[in-house]
Amino acid sequence: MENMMNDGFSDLMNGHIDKPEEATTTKPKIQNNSGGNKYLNNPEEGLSLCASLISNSEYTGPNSKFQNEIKHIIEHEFLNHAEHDDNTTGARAYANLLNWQDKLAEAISFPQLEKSYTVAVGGSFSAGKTRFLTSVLGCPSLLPTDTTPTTSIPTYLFKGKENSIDALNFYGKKTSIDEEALKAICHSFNKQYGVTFSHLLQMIAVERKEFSYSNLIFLDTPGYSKADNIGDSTQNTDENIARTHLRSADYLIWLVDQQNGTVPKPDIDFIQSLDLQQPVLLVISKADKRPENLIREVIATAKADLERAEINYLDVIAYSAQNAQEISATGQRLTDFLDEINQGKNGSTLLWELEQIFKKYDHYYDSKHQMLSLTHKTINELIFDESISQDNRSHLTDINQKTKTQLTNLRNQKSEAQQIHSKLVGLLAQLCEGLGVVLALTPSIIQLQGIKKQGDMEALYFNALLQGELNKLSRFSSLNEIPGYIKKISSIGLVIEIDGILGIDIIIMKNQLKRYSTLFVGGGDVFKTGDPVKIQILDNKKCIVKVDIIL
Amino acid sequence: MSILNKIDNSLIGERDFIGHPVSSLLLEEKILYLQAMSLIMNVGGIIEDSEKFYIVLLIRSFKLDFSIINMLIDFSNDPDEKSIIDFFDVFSNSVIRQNFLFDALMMFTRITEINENFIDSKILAIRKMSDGLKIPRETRNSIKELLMILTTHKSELFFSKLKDENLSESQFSYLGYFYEFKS
Repeated sequence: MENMMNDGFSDLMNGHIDKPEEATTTKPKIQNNSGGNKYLNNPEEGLSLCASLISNSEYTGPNSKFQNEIKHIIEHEFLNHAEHDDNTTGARAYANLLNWQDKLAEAISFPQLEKSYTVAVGGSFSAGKTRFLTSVLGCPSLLPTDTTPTTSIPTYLFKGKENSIDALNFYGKKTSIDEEALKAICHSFNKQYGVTFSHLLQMIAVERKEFSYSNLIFLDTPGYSKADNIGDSTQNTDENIARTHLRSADYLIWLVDQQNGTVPKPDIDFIQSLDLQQPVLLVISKADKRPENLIREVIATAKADLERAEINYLDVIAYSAQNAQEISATGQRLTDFLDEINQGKNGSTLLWELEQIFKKYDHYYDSKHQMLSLTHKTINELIFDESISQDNRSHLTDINQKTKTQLTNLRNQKSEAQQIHSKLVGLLAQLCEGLGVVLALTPSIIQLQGIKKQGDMEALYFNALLQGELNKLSRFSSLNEIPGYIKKISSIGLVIEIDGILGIDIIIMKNQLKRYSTLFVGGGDVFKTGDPVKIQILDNKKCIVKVDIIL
Repeated sequence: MSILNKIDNSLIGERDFIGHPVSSLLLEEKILYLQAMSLIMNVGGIIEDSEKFYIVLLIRSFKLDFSIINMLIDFSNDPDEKSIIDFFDVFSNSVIRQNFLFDALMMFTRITEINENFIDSKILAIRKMSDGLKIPRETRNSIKELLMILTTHKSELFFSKLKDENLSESQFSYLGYFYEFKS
C-alpha cells in the first residue's frame, strides 16, 4: 500500500489528502487497517475506483439525448439569444438556467430526490446517527460506522426497486459502487491513507428494496464536530459539509447521545446556525444505556434547554437503535413523524422553476415594450404639433423610426425567447415522463423553503391589477423595479402602494396567492403589511409585483 | 319574474358604460363590486355567456384589465366569505348599492335559460344581496321600474324617472348617454 502512495496516489487525489490531524507531520498517517477490503488490498482495484469516482464525462445513459439537447439549448441557443439583449436580465436568466440545469442533472441521476422529502439526520460525531438510521430503515449492516472521527460524504438512503449504491461527483458524474467501495470511501481510505473524498463526491445514494419508507429519503451527514476543532468553522470541513447538507434537507432529526444528559451547548449553537424553517425532532440516542426513568429526565431537561434557546422543536424523544425502541409520550412519535413525511412530494418543481426564470425574463420585454411604446406615442404627438419646424419634425421622424425598429426587434427577441422556453418545457416533460417524475405546477411550502435556502430564487412574482395615471411615475428612470410595499392585506388580496406615490392602486388578487395556498396554512402570515416589493409596470392596467419570500 | 322575462335586452350593445359611477372608485372597491356580481353570475351552477359578456362590459367600463374575468370566475366557484362581508361593509351605506342592484337585474334580464329553478335561484340571490346591502323596498321597486323604462326605450320617462325620490339621479345619468337619450 505504501507503494501505491509513492506511485503517485497522492497526485491522483488532486491534493485532496487530508492533512493529518496532527498537522505537524508531513506524511499521511498510514495504518494497516484494510480489514479485508479489496479496494485497499488491491492497488489496481483501488486506483480504478478512485479514477471512476473523480472522472468527468459528458452526459451518457438513456436520458442523455434529452439532457444534451437541453444543454445545447441553454449554453448555445439561449446564450446567443441573450447576447442581443441590451441589459443584464439575459445574463441573470442564463446564470439561473445553468443552476437549473445542475438541478436537472441531479434529478436525472437520482429521480427519487424529486419524488420524496429528505429527512436529514444530524448530530455531533458519535451521536449514533448511522446506527439510528440503519435501525429505523431495518438494514443494520449497511452503512459503515466507525469509532474514530473520519471525514464522510453526505449519504442519501431510500427505498427503490433494486439494491444499488451510486456516488455522484462534483462534475455530475454518477458511478455505481458496491458496499465494499462505500466502506472504503467513507472510512477505510481515510484511515489507511488519510484520504478523504468529501471534496470530490457531492453525495452517495443508497437504494435498497427492503427499506421501510417508500416516499422518504434519509440523509446521513458527517458528524458536525471533531473534538480537536469544534468552534473553528474555518477549519472544520465536516462542520461545513454537515451544515450545507442539513440546511438543504426538508426535515431534520437531531441526535444527542444520552450520556450528555441534555442538548450540549455546541449542538444548540449549531442547530441555531442552521436557521431551520421546520421544527426539529430531537432524539436522545442510545436509550438502552440508561434506565427509562433517567432517560425521561434527560428528555425533560432537553426540552427545557431547547425552549430556553428558542429552538423550534417538534418533540424530544429517546431511541435505542440496539432494541429498535422509542421512549416518548405516545411511544410512536417517530413513526408518526416519518409516516406523515412519507406522503411524498406532489411533484418536482423543475417546471415551476423554469417558468419562474422565463417569467422574469419575459417581463423585461413587456416592460421595455411599454417604455418604448410610450416614447413612440409621445413622439408621434410631437410630430403632429403644427408649431414644430420642418427640421425638428424630420429629426423626430428619424427618432420615431428608430423607436419603431427597436419595438420590432423587441417583439422578435421575445418571440425567440418564448420558443426557447417552449423547447425546454417540451424536453423537460419528455425527460420527466421517462424518469417517472411528475412535474408540479406549484411548489409546496417545504419545497419553496428548500428553493429559498439554495438561494436560487429570492422572490415570488405575481400578476397584479393596476389603476391610476402612469405619468405620476415619471421620476423613475425605469419602470422595471419600482419600489413599493404591501399596504394592506384584505379579503381580495394584497394591496400594494408605490413608495412616495399616491393615486396608483395595485392589487394582487387572492386567486393569484391561492396558487401558493400551502403557504397560508397556520395563520396566513406569509405576507405582512409593510413588506417591501418591487413593481414592474406592464401597461396602464396591469403590472408584475415581486414579493420577497418570507417564510 | 314574468315581467322581467319580457324585458328586451337586445338594446345593450358592445359599447362601454361611460361614466358608470363605479369607474371612479378605488381599485379595491371595483374588485369587491365585480366579485359580488360574479356570485350572482354563478348562481344556479351555470354561467351563461350573456352573463359573462355583461361582466366583461362592466370590466371594460371600469377600465380594468380584461384578464380579471378569469379571476372572477375562479372567485365565483370558490367564494371567500370574508370578501362578501367586506362587500356589504363597503357598499351597504353607499349609494353605489343602487347601481349594484341595477347591474344585477340588468345581467339577469340577459339570461336565456328558462328553467324555473335556475331563474328562482337567481332572483333569490339578487334579493339576498339587496337585503345585505340594506336597499329599501321602495328603492328596489324604483330600480326595477327604471329598468323597464330603459328596455322600452322611452327617453322622456327615463329623465322623469331619474327624479324619483327613491333614486339618486347622479348614479344613473350615465345610462342616458349609453342609450343615446336626449333630454
